[in-house]
Amino acid sequence: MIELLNFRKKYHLETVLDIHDWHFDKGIYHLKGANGSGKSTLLQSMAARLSFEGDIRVNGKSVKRSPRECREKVSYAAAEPLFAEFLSGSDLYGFFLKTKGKPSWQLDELMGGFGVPEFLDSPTGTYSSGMLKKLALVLAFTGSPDWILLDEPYNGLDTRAVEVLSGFIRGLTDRFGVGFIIASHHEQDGLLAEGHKVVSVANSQLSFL
Amino acid sequence: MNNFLLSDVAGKMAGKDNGTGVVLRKLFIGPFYKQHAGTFLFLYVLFLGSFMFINYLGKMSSSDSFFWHFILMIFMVTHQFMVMLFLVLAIFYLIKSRLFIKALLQLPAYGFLRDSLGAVPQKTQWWHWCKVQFFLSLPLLVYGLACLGMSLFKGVPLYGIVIMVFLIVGILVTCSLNYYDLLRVPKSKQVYKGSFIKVKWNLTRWVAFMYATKRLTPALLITKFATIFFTLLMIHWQTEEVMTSRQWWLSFLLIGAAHVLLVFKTSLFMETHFNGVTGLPMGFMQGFFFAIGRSYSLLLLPELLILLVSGNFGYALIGCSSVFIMLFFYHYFAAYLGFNLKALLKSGFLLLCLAFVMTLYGIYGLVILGYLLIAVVLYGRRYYCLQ
Repeated sequence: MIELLNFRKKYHLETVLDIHDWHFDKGIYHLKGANGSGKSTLLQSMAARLSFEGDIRVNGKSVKRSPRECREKVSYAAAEPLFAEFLSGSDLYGFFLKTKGKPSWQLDELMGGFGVPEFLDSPTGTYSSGMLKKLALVLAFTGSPDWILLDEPYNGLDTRAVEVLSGFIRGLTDRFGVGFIIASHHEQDGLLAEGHKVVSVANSQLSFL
Repeated sequence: MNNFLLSDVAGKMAGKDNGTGVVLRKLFIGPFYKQHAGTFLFLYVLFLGSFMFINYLGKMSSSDSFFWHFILMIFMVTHQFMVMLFLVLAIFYLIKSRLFIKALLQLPAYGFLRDSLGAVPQKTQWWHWCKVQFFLSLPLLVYGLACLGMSLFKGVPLYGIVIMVFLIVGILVTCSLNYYDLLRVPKSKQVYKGSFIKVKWNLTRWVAFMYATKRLTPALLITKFATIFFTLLMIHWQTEEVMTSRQWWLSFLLIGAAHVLLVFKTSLFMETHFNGVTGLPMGFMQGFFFAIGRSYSLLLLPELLILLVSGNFGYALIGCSSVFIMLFFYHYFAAYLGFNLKALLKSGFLLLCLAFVMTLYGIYGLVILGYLLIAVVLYGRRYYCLQ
């Protein structure tokens, strides 16, 4: 479970998010909201990448006090991923496997569906935005996270890759109980699992739709 | 096809070490040495050119480079000033490597490290940073080890041991800072509100001091610990009658240089908080000392008192005044360079080398006068007091 307690995020003097008490039970959540509503900010805060006021707890552990443990349990894929351009995809893939560990699930299906092996050995500086996105998504699925946070995962993906990703997400939730919070503008209702919950981010608050 | 490709990838992963060490070397160590190759060459030339050629050795053949390095190391471990100089240079080097890593960690392209390396057990993480810092500090360590060997050979093991212990502690501190930087949730910069609004005596001229003590506590403690320790060493050497006046002046140059980071941050703070003083109709010298004169004199009070109590009145007054002037110089020089810390460290280091050489020639007064004049001119240009 991810809990937000008196969570507040300000940029300079403007409060972007102000959430008194909220929790995400295991499942698939679709975060919806306008540009600048704070979707990415929320995901980055939960992934221990951004400072914030209040507290976020992942499985009872505070992100502020135990950032390492929380990063172990929460994976994150950025909306516009960037990597050091001289590193190849295989460098990064190997690095993530060594640091986060091999996942309990097989990544072959996802990597094959994305066509990642075809460009894995090239430096990431030569990648298109779609290739970077695919690599970032594969890396987010390494380790054994309880939660995977995906920021605009469908942006830049071709139709085939979108289907593969949605199927993979469903499989992980059904078989391994991994929770997902997906920030997206796109209507992917048909592709995500049945019964996924839609959460709106508006006026600095979260609410179920 | 996919199955074929995936087995290919798996094979490559198994056969090739794409592990943490390789990626960290590519991310930090390679770029560091590529970027600073010129600096290392410059330091090498500077060491030989300045300290050896000018003062002790006379003409030098380029083919005898190795021999002169050998001599340099003997000099390093048999003369306390060269030991101190080496330690100050080592501090600069470690600060430089720390700033390099810090800057890289703030790049979006290095953000993935927080999700990957930042998730491994803390001891392993720290160990990885230790290895990175070890490789970054190799030039220092090689020289340090050579000094240790030479000090044992010359029968003065203390200097060699001091150098090595200092380097190891410095490397451990730097790697711990890097480790902590990646581990923690990044903090957004808080605006320093300060208590000077509430406290009457702290209203204007003590702001810099209050800021330094409250917000720069680690930098202040490290700087003052180093400079006070050095002052005590100077007194010790004086009682052993191994200090000449020239060595006193060299020591004060080092003490002044040790404050550079502290002064840089204070200067930046003062600039952002007192933008409005630009063009104020105040007396030239009053403006020059505005808000920082009293604060900086308070910062130098410990050294002054220690020297006075030890009975070195002349050195206390002249030395602390010259350090005071150096702080002014760094304060306005930082502003002149647009608060570019790298530029300040590089050019400050060059000027310090020049000051060292001039002091060795016995014209310390001219050095300090130079620092004062440059500080006044920079102040004048900065705040439009000079036409």
